[in-house]
Amino acid sequence: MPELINANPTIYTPSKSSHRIETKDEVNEDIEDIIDSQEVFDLIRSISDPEHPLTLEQLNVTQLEHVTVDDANNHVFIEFTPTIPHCSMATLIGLCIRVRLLRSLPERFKVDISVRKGTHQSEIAVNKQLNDKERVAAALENAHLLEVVNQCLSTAAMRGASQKIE
Amino acid sequence: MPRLELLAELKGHTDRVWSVAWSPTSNILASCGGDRTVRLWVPTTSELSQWNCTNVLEGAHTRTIRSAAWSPNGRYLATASFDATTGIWERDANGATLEGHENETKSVAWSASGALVATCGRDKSVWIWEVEADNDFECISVQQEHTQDVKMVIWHPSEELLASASYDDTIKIWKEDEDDWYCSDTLEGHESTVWAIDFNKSGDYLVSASDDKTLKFWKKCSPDHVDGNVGKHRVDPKWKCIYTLSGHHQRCIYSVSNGNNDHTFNYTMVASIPSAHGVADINCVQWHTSETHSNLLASAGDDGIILNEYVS
Repeated sequence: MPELINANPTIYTPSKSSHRIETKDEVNEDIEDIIDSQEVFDLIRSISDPEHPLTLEQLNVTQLEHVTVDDANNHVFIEFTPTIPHCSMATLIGLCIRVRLLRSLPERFKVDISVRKGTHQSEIAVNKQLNDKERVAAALENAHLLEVVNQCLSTAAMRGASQKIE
Repeated sequence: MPRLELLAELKGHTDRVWSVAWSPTSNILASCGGDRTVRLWVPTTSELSQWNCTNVLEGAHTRTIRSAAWSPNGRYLATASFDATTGIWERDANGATLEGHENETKSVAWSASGALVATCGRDKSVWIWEVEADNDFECISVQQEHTQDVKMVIWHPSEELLASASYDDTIKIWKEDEDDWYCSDTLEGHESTVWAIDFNKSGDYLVSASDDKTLKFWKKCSPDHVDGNVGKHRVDPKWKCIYTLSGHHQRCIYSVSNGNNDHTFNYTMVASIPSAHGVADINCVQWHTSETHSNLLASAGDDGIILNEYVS
């Protein structure tokens, strides 16, 4: 077993309020739901961490308040927080978030992903790579990398419903 | 009032189209992209509203074909692929494969005379190849002065002068000095990746497009240190940024094309099509290379290819 980058991460318990309460309008099929930050957070909260059997939400890597959605202007901005400032998995985590949103959000959305300011020693380099569509396209043609991403995304559909990953 | 009018949609690619290139000698458009094919398109009507895909070049590249470039005589098409190779295609012939880059090759360009080919890629290098007889290509120089991914290479319209644009936010100009190539200038000013560059027709100006949402215009000026330093240093022209155009694009600018008919740049917006490709990104724009069709603009996007006509 290779040495873990962060062997003992802090585990957070999601607060109950992070679970969505359906409103009348949302249940009403005649009203078009706009996509909001809760919806986008639900898409990414249960992505698995590349090295722990825990979700990004449990590791506090993704947080609802760091998801910004401008539905009218088709824009999503995600900031995530690596567990440690020298986390070498940061680019991979960002790539997983990007792929999840590529696959789930309507095509009209442009997505920007950044490491939360001051939480990673190479934040500029990581951010630049994550937002370069050519680098992302090339990365996703790498079969090994795609397999790792798919593995992390295998739990994403839980949308925070269950906090335990087997 | 000047405007751009939609002429045709070219449908066939099954994935994102990364690049389009007009043949310099005939009315053919080449396109390439994520489906690992190159398609050749020719018009079937004189109004240019109908185009047929006459050839699908496939099987040579195992990954995305990022860009394509015609040789000046229109006989060869070169393709740069994420599979680390550059393909050379010739009608009814076997073609060639240029190998050497460590990973994704991103751009390929022919010099004005057709005697040299340049390639660049994610391995931060720029390669210069000499075209020999019988589809043989010899690498004559490998330049590694960019500190990051090199996105695009383009040759000067008449001289053997090469420009490269990079993820390191700079543009570099490469020259030959007694069989040795060197970086004669580094153009700094963009605040993020430089995705594309183009010379004007006379080659006195260069335009660059960047992730920083600006276009910059660079002018070939006199060397900085003519006095006193002659003989000590090579005296090369200095490219100076004379204008930065901002405020027109809200996101990354992936492509810029100067066209065939301008001698100096115009910094005023004369026409635009909002959402020309709907919600899809536009990856490449190219004005037609011929005088007759110089008002024809092809654009490649994540959704496909469209042709527009500029009406003045």
